Amino acid sequence: MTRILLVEDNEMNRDMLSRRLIRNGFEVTIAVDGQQGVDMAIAERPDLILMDMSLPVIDGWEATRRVKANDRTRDIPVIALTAHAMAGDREKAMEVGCEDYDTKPVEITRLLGKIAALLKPGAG
Amino acid sequence: MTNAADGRPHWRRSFKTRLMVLVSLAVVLPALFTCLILGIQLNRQARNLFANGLAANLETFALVLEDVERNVSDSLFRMASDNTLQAALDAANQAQLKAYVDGQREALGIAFIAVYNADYRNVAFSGAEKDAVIGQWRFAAKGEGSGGDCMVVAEEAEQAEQLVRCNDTVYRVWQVQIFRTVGQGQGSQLLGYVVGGSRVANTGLIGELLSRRIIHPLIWADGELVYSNIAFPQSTGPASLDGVAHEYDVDQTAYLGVAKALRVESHKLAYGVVAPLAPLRETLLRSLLTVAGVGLFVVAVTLIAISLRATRLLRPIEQLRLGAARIGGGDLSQRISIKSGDEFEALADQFNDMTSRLEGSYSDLEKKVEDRTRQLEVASQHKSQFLANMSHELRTPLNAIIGYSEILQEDVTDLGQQNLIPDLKKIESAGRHLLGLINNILDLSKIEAGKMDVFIEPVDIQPLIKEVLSIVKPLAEKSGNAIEVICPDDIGSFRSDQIKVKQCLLNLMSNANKFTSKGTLTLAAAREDNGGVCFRVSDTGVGMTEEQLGRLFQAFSQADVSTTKRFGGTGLGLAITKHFCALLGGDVTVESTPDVGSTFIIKLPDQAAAPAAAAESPAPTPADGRPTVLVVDDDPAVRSLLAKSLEKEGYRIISAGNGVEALALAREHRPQAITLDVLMPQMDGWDALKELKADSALRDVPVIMVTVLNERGMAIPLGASDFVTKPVDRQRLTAILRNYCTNPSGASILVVEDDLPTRETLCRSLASMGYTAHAAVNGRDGLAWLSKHPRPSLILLDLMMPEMDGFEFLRELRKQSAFVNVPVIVVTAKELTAEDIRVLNGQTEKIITKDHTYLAELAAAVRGSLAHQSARAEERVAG
Repeated sequence: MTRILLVEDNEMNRDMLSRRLIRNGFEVTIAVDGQQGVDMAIAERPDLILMDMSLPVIDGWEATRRVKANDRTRDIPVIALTAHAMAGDREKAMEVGCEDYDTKPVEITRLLGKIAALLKPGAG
Repeated sequence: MTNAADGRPHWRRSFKTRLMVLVSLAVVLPALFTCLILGIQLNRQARNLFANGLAANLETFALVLEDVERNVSDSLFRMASDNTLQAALDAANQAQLKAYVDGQREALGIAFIAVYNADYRNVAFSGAEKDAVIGQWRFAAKGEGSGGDCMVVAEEAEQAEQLVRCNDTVYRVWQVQIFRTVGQGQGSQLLGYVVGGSRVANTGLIGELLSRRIIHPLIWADGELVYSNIAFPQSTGPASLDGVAHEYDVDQTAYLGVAKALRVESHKLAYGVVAPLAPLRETLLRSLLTVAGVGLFVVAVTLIAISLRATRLLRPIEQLRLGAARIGGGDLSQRISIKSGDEFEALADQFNDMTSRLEGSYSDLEKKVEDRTRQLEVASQHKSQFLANMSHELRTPLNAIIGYSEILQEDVTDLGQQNLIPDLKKIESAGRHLLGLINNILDLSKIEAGKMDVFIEPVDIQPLIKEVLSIVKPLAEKSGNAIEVICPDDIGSFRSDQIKVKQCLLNLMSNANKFTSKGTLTLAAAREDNGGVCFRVSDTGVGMTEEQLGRLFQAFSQADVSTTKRFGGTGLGLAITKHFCALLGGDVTVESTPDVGSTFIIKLPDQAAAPAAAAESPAPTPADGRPTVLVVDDDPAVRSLLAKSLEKEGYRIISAGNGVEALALAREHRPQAITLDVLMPQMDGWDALKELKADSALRDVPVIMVTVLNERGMAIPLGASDFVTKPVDRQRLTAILRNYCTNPSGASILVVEDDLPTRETLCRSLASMGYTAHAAVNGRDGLAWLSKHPRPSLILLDLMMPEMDGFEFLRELRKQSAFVNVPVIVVTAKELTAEDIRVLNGQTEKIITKDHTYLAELAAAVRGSLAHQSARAEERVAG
């Protein structure tokens, strides 16, 4: 089963997204801040990471940078989730190494499409 | 340095010139007038003097004539009373008489002497032409009547005088009676007559006149010219006989002459004196020339003196002008030093005072502007931050509302509680509506802050319209509206921002739906003649009046305040639509009739971000392959100095003296770089820079400002690439130029790109930067090109291509030793994965994402890469 690490500090969002991902057949593990996200990514090596950008302890940008800097986790695709829709967010996400980018509130079908594209073997 | 601040004087005539002209007129005109009057006066006086001289001569002439007459008549009297003559006459001794008159004639020097007896018979004759004299003179009637051969002028008179002509010679003849006194009281006895004749113009007389300096005497007898030693016309008689001077024309030479006459019996003997006027005129002319020469000399000396003086007088004005020019040019530290002690010094002092105050308030102002700008920047940052936070804070709970209502819908479906679904849908729909409003407000804020991103990509029109319809259809059904779609099958795609176009169409469609019930909404798409795309959204709704149309596209404004109550909405949709269309290079317009309906028309270009330079021809390549630099400075000295030093560095130089000329030359030659002076007449450097940056064909040409002051703060925001201060540090300038001008002959660039418009855009912008661009349509084509051509300086590579993509091309390229080091810049629209980036890293110089600003980034990257290469090449040469 495909394992997704969801890094999200907002409880409602976390609950909602995890339930819907589970309903769609994914195994979901949860991290509630950036540091925990990085630690769990290294420890569990999920198939994909959904990373909120506004996180306590260390933010999503930095967390992604650390994930991409680690040899063990470098190849794990990261989709950035952000409520920020200001100019440059997309570039910033690409710059820190995110594979894709989506804005909140999450449109579940769109997100599922992006997840599927990244998990397809040989994608890229 | 001063040249820059100087500014060229471009008046037509200097004050000094005008002053000189004025003075010249004031001096020369009276002088000319004086000369004229003087000349006329002098001429008249000289002529009078000359005439007076002639009159004196004439007087002398008269005296000489009188002398001659007296001499002859006295001699004849003496002869008549001479006993020797009387005795010889008594004796009728002809031989003795002949000897006597011969002796007398010789002594007197006259033409002839004749002696007659009382019967008028000639008894003796001495002189020439006896026969002629005796034979012709028949003027004494008595003598003739008595058969004598004598001439008697007047029988009774003791003495008589006559003028006679004989054989073309005119003689003056005197006759004296010969008496003998006979005893006391017996009276006297007439013995005969003695007659003497003298040529009127005899040599004695002429000699006498000459000795008295009468050079050209004239003698007329009875109006006929008898004597003249010049070619005096025979027919010309004396003009008057009253001694008044007259001018005569003698053989085309002007003479002045006077004449008088004396009567000899019934004849008139006129005598005159003439003299040529030429010497007089020559003398007169010489005098006048002398006067004029002296006058001119005086005028010239005066003018030179005034000129020197004027230069000194005008120096303060020139100083003031130069100072004002420098201050006008922005150098407020300038002070003018004039120590003339007059009004000019006072003016300079006031000028300096003014400049000081100006400098003071200017620096105050600058400080204030700086402070205010900083405050504004801080405020703007706060605002942006606030918006970001608001966005997050508002969206998070909304996220939950929408998300949970969706989850609940799924859950109740699973539980079979279908009756709850409509309520849950209402919650979700309300949440989405709220999200839409928040998004609109955020969009508008971003547009106003200039932070709205535009992401240009190929947009397929038919799928786009389908997507819009799928969203609008449920809304339309709710309002009972039918939807009609007109879209040709072959409409294809265009390059624009898909999300924004979709949002615009959604805005217009939902708007149309909002104001229409039980009507028809029409969405039509069509190609324009110019290749652009036109969307028309029509409804059969309430429509709008002219007045309402005027306020339509303003933010927060609906056609009518009351409509807000009736139809809801924030009124932001149309404002956003208008902004989006403008961002994409298009426009939105509206046509409407109240109660009939409205039609909104969006027109978008085929290439949203394509540079407007598309229509321009590529830059002409310099004939000799040297990079061209346009030097713009109004001072010819600065121009030639820069040109010389840059030509030494291997640049081809064209130069212009002002902004207007510079623009024309830049358009014609497309230089690789421009150095631009700031202070110039007509159009200054800043204006020229703005024009250059507004011209799509020249926008990419780097401009280096040459300023007197350090104006980086002004230069860089206006689009200048760099700036140097005057006096120009040549090394710094050449270093800057080296960055911007790589030798185009050495820089050929291969563009590997499958998309035709992008390929053309890239080639064009490379050409406009002065490089030679070669195109290949995919990886395989690119490799084929490389096998047949010299190694290019750089390769621009797209990743997603048919046949052979960018990754494979790169692999193949690096396998060949010749191309291991060719720098590659990746230009792609692909969203790169970490794997992609890993593969590309180390093999490529830079990865540029195709967005709306990528061309500028690309230009910088290409220049940077080539400059880097040439620097490395230089190091190798040096090492």
